[in-house]
Amino acid sequence: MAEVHVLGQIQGARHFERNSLFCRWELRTGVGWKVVTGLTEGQTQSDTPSCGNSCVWAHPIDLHLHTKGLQDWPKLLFEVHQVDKYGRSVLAGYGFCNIPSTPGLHNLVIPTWRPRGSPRDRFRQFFLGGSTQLSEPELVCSSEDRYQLSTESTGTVLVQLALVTTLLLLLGALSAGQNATEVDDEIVTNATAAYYEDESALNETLLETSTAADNEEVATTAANASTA
Amino acid sequence: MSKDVSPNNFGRSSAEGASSRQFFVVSISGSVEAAEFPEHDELYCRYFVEFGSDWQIISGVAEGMSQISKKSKCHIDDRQLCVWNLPVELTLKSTNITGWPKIVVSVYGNDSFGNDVVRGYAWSFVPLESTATTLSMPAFVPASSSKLQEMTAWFTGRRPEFLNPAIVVHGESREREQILFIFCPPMF
Repeated sequence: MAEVHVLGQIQGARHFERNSLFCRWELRTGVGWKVVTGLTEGQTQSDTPSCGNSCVWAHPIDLHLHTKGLQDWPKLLFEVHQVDKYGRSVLAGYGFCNIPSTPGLHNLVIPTWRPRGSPRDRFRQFFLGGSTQLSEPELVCSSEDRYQLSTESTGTVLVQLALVTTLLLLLGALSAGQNATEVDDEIVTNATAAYYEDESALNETLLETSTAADNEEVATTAANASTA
Repeated sequence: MSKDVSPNNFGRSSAEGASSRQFFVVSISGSVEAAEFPEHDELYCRYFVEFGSDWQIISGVAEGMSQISKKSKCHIDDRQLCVWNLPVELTLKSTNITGWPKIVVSVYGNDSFGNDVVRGYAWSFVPLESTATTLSMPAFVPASSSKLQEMTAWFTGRRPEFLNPAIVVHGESREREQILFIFCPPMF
């Protein structure tokens, strides 16, 4: 019922060792989020700066997401690769960021890291090139234990996102009233109709969904949501 | 560039039956001010505004071409800008935020043999806030795919360029492009 529009671009990268870089990106959403339009993954062009040290990709991110709950907020995953002079691609870093939750323009700076191999691997990489990669890239954005992993820090990815949200505050108010993280369809339909037509009906709908103990809190949230 | 968005001015175009589509109006007014290309001079630009299928132009034009501008000869001016000040005036109407307008600027100039070649492409989403904003867009240009092609392109003036500059705002199939990034941006 709440919609989030993400409009932006993966601007580029800086502070990497070598400067011919490209990036693979992916959107990870949880259960309950639906992508209405837009590409959820892609690969940027590979860019070599002619002056300065920053790569420019200017890769568009244009997404329209729809959700009925507030958990599992979407994330963007990045895998930056270097192109060496023989045309091989070598992993330069992994990074991820959460999509912002407030409307407006956001300039995100995402630091990246890559796994260090064993000393033998590093010796081999020095002469032959190549890099150590994760066998499960999901580790980058999951909260599992990583203490066995040894990594080195690499450069940063620059992303600029503008966010437009619709009915997100209302979703929060309804979730609070129900003491649940996902909201019933019927309540959603009634509330959305009320939002567009009649504000007093909206307040009634919100009050109906609250328990006796939470009445005051929901009423305040509802009042804030309708004036926002 | 200042932009006026009035999300509260929902118009209702009434149709027969129960459904009414709400639309909103976005009015863009600004200018493509200047470009900073350290290695090149005598540049002109073309811009166009790309938007989705739910959007319609109410007034204004979605594209334009500037004059050819040379950098300042003043020795105390170290900004080294090619100034165009090309106005952008456009009003759009839509029912859907998807397809929010993007402005694409392509910069061209003459090479040493007098051929018209592309110097850079840059794009940005039209800002969402209604306050005056200056956008800095870094530019890039396609690189030749081999040394031989690079040399031939230098002689004949047929450098790699995009058939349709709108490709820079599409996310599909960009992995085949090898890009040489020319650092500094046209300012908008």
